[in-house]
Amino acid sequence: MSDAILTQRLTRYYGRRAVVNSLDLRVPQGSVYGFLGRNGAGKSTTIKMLTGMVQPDSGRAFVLGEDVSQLAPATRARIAYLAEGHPLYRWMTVGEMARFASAFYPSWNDRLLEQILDHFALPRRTKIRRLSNGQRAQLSLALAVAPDPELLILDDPTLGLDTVVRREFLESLIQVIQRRGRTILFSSHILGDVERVADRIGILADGVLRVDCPTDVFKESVRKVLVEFGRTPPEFPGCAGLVSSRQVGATLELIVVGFGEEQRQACEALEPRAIDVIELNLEDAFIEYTRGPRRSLPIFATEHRDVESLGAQGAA
Amino acid sequence: MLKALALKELRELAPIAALGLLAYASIVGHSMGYRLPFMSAQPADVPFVLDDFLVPLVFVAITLAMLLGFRQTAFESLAGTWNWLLHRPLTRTRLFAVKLLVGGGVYTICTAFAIVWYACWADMPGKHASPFFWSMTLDAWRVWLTAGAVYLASFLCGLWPGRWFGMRIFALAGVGVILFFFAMAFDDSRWQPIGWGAPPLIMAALASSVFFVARSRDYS
Repeated sequence: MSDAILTQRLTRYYGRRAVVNSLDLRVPQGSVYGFLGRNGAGKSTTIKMLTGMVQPDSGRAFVLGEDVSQLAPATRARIAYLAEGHPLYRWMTVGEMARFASAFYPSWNDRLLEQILDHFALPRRTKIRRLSNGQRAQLSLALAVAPDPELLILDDPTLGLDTVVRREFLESLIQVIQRRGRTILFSSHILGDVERVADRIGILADGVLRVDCPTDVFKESVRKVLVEFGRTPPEFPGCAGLVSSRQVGATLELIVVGFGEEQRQACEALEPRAIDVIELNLEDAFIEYTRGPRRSLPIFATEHRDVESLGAQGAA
Repeated sequence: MLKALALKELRELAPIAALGLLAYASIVGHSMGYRLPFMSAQPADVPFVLDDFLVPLVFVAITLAMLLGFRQTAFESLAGTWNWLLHRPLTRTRLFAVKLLVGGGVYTICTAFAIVWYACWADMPGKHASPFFWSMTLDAWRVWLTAGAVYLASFLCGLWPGRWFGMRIFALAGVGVILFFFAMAFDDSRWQPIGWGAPPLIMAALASSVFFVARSRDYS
């Protein structure tokens, strides 16, 4: 299977900070790729480099087999791009916007557009500035799908939408996906959305691609391991697949990718009282994988201690 | 697709063009001796030479040129629509060429219309007590040409990806100073060829800068 998107050591600096750092990304043709990361992780910058809106400082990107820096209009016509916030000409009506967009595409499917507009009940005579955020997202999706693109690149398409509209949007997206051979790359930080539609995910943290695998494999491989001690836990020496380790009271909390015999032996070598291996859902796995050393605010920790001491007083 | 893009640009510029035409109509009407609100009736002694036409023309032409240039660029940035527009399947050179042709065309037609209208009136017998030659309109055409460069400078400034808006204005101010310097050269007949030649050269440099910046800048 060939790649719809391929990047080679793609790098972009803003000032001295590498927002995207040597990114090697491969999105196979026909796949739905969830591009995850926290705010400021570099998702939007990557997507803008893939669409030619931002120039990389080094590295190369290929979309539908063509170098992004020399993307021909004919290739661009095969790619739909939904920018963050769904920017559209607010002074136009829905109908005018559709007519304007259709003028650029010889393969424009007017019937499909009408179907989608009817499905979303978008009134054609309404000015875009009078549409809600959700309706603008729906219109953007309709305009993106109408030229029948091979590749859809969606930059946080559900940002700012309420739960119901988000669900409707995703269901429509699933229908779009079902059209044969279409590749979708979409960024998000709403894990539930990704879990619903993506068959493969990539996690970007501080500009570096930390995870790139099928969604199910990621969910199955990330584990939280609680190593309990009757005393202050020792320093964890490390093992293959260790994402993070931290001490919580008398427990050592480890996040491990691919927990197996080797990792269990590393834990048992510390002579703990017990070892608990907990499965994580995608959201928990993502949070554990991407959050830095900062944890809850100290005030919450204080409250926690207060509750514990209250509990101890009660028991006495 | 170019027609659709040109129509979109025209519709966006229509309110500014209408305001520009209204302002030009006021100037021309005032110079013809019509009594207008907030203006005293002041018929021209010698049209284009001894009248109140040229100074307001400079002001309106430059304001119109700046508004058109910024409307076509800075407004796309403010509305965040660059990402949508630039992803359409046509080259950036063609896209920006259409923008420049429409914006430049609107400026050219509005300003030329005012000059030609006033000149035609001046050319009609019995309208004023002085002779009229079309060569007397040269100063007005010089303003028209110079403000054309201001349009391109404003377009470039709106497109320039400066973090601080003041940085963009520096470019416009720089062009203004250069144009002012060359405009001054017209007063001395020895320098007139340079004075006439400078605005088109500056416009060519500005237009190529627009295409360069449009191709190379980030739209983030």
